[in-house]
Amino acid sequence: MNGAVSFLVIALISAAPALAQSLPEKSEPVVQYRIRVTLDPAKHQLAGKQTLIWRNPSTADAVQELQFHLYLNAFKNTKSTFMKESGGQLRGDEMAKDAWGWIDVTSITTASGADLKPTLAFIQPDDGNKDDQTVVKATLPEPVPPGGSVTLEMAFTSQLPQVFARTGYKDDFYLAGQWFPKLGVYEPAGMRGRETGGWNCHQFHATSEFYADFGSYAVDITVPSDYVLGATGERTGERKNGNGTTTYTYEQADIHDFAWTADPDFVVVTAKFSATQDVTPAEYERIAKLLGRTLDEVKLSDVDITVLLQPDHRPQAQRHVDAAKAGLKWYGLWYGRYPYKTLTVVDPAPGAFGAGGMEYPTFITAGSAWLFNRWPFDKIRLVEEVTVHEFGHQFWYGMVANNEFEEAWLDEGLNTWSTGKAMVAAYGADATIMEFLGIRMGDRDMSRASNDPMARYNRVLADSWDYTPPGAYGFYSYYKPSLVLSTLEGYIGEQAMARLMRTYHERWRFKHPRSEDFFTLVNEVTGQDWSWYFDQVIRGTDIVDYDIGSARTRPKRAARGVFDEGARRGTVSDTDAAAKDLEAERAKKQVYESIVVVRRSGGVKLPVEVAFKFEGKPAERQSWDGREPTKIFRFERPEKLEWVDVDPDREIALDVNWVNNGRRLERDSRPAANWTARWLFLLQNIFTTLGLL
Amino acid sequence: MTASIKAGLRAAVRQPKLVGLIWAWYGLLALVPALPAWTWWNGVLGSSPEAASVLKRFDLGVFLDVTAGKGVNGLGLLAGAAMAAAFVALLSSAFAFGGILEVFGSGDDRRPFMHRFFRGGGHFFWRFLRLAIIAGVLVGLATGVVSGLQSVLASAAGNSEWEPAGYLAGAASIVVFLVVAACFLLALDYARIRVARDDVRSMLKAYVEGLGFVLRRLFTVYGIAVAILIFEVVLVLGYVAYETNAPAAGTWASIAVLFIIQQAVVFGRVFLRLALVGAERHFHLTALPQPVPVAVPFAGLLVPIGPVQPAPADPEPEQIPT
Repeated sequence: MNGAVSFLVIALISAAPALAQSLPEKSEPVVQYRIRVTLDPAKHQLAGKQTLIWRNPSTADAVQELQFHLYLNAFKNTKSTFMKESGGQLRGDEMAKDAWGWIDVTSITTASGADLKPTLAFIQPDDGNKDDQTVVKATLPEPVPPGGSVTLEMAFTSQLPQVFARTGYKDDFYLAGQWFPKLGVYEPAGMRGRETGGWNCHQFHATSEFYADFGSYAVDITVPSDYVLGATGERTGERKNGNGTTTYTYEQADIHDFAWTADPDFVVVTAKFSATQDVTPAEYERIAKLLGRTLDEVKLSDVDITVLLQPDHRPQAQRHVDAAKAGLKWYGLWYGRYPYKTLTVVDPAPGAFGAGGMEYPTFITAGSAWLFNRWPFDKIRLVEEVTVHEFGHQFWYGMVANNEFEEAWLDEGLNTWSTGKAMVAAYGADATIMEFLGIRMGDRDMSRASNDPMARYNRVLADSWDYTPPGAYGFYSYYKPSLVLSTLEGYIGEQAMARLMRTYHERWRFKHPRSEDFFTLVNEVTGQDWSWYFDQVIRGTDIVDYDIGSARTRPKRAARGVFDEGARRGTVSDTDAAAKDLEAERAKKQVYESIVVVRRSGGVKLPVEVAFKFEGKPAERQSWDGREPTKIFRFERPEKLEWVDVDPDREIALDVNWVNNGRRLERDSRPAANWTARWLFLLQNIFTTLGLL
Repeated sequence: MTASIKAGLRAAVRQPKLVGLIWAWYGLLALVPALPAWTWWNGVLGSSPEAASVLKRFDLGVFLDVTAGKGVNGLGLLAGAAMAAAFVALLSSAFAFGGILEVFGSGDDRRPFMHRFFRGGGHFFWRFLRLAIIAGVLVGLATGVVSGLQSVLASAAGNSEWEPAGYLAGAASIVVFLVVAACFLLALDYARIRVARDDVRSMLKAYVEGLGFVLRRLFTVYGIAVAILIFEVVLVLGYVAYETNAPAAGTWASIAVLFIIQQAVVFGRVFLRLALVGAERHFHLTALPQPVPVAVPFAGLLVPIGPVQPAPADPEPEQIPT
């Protein structure tokens, strides 16, 4: 925020500390999965075996019970919590009839041969819905000591649903997400604010995503040989089995999930992100200076990009590649080098949009349509927006791995804000979403559009399934947090914000932060306590809205009446005063009295700047702490007040209405005339058509 | 066909007052939802510094802020006013067509233009209203059947592995829908022309005959309509080109120019619609030079009461009591 909100921020922010710290290269692995899976295209089933090694991360707790996510059971029947909450519809997609999905653990034993299957029991830690089978617990014969580990041998069968809620099949297209029994997170005391150690393993909800521990994955995937395969990580092996199938091996460390896709129709497009050619030396220097880091610290590395494209979307290949490169470049420069060697972008098959727009480590799904191949739809940048956004989750969720069940805003919100920044950097401001038939829409427009003045019934910080109505999840986890960050950037400035986000990423890379960790870091980087801000906009429910109660400017009249001057008493008559006024007016020595009442209509109290523009003078600014409902500004100047504007730089993105922020003293009817002419024209055309049918 | 198109264009050129009257009427009707919009937007934007961006381009952010009122659904109110005015526009078409056809058909009448227009409008109003209802019902039924078939085809195309199939099926569906709807609407035009020409009283029969006329002369009827449509498309594209390339309407002068061009486009569209009616009327007269005898439905079933009266002769065309 420019200028004079001195009571709050500026002095300390201008020298925001860089807080440089090394960028962690590796995670501390907790799990190790070795999975062998075979696709049966006739049944749309996966037959899998996995060897799972789990290390007890606690230094104090011996753990005897393990908890697993069986996400596919969300699609088993209408009684699951997911189906009850979603009604079989999610993100505009409807679950196909009689195309259920499920997962059975057919065997589970320890390395020593102890059979754990009899101990398996479904649990419902969130809602007690006994019909929900998305979490299962197993009891070990012996507890795993602190720091110790256990090895399990498991076999499972996964029935994929027809594509719905990120996963499934559509004809020959497969997107296998959340397809294997996946261990929950054992959180020792102290982790994410826990007082005692315990499992964090939530049921699968309609509006929740995921949370898992870091580790390594090595996965053999067997599919018919004519299928094109893509998966998380690097392909390290390929073996023809002689029976019409091929087994591919993928491996990746320092990740917490694994997804793969297969489709005989995929067109494979490969490209390389070059750390030397796709980023200029000037850009490295600029970012290093912005972040207060050395050039070496901001240096990126090369990445192999694979785009698995639908044949009808060939003309969009470069758009996908460019968007992936934009993500690798700007997220990498701002937050830290992308540490993996590969990135796979999947374009789901037509009719499989439910699989689109999703993130997995080193593997993202975008989504497009043939219509976007050509003018005028080629400037609708949904392909770019989705690709950059899902790539961005490599940073916010992938590496900085918050609990998406409990604090979805920490990845969705931070990533929505980051996506907007990256899109502006790559594609220019104001049209990052679309330029279509003269209408331009940017990311900020989209976030602000959802900021409903009536949206004061939820708080950002909530379990993802607790938003009411369920559609509110999108606003409170994506858009409002994005506006919160934009507003914060307005207060602390671009440099401090960049350093804050960089430091947050460095500190929590390959770890599991919670909201409190982010808040603490904001205070640390800015040297100020921002709890008043986050209490209102993250923990609170109210809205931000500043407007002008009244504004007037008029010549100050000469005083009239009876006046005591010492022992003498004199009278100024109305006639005499009017003559004085006239004289002042003729001599152009009038004084104007301007009175402005600025109001805080929303419940959130934020400090603001108010700009006043007097005739023939540059705009001047004053600050207001916004604590009281109104603030009266009075001026006596030789100039008339022309206009007043609250937050003139529009940095409080959280404000639900910017149009009411200001007031012109002399009305300008041109904007209304412009709109009305177009509205009238539209109506005339409609009426003429109807009336002359 | 060409002669009819020329005749239609000539007829419209000869009746600038008629074009002006129709343009003015629908313009007046459009003011019903436009004036509240002006009041609303001028109240909000007129005093807001934020609105300056509107003068450069359509600013979606400002539009969203203006329309996201607290509890007041301004857009809903405007939409309601627009719907009400649209209903009046639809209803008034029966009157307008009566007037248009009367003016076109009374070239020798020296009475004032407005007199002839309102005479025709009043005389044919109820009959044209009944015709419009019949046409509306039939258009609804026909397009409903077509839509049903289309949805089956679209569903099949949507499942095709060739993704453009879905879009092409959608586009083809729209074309078929428009062609079918146009058939019934053109039949309405020819039925109105027939009623005005021969003072027919049975509207169902007149409409069926209009439909028969269209179906028997499909090529010419659609040819005339498409030719006029091409003029209209050129007009609209010209406007789009202006909007795309002209500087933003940021000054009063440029707003005035925009307004004048918009009104010229609407005027042009009214002119072309009247030219179409003129061309259709010319074609109808050419194809059916003699008045068509109107059969009295179920005449044979009527049992005369009292002395049998001789059947009245077919009314003379254009014999409207004044």
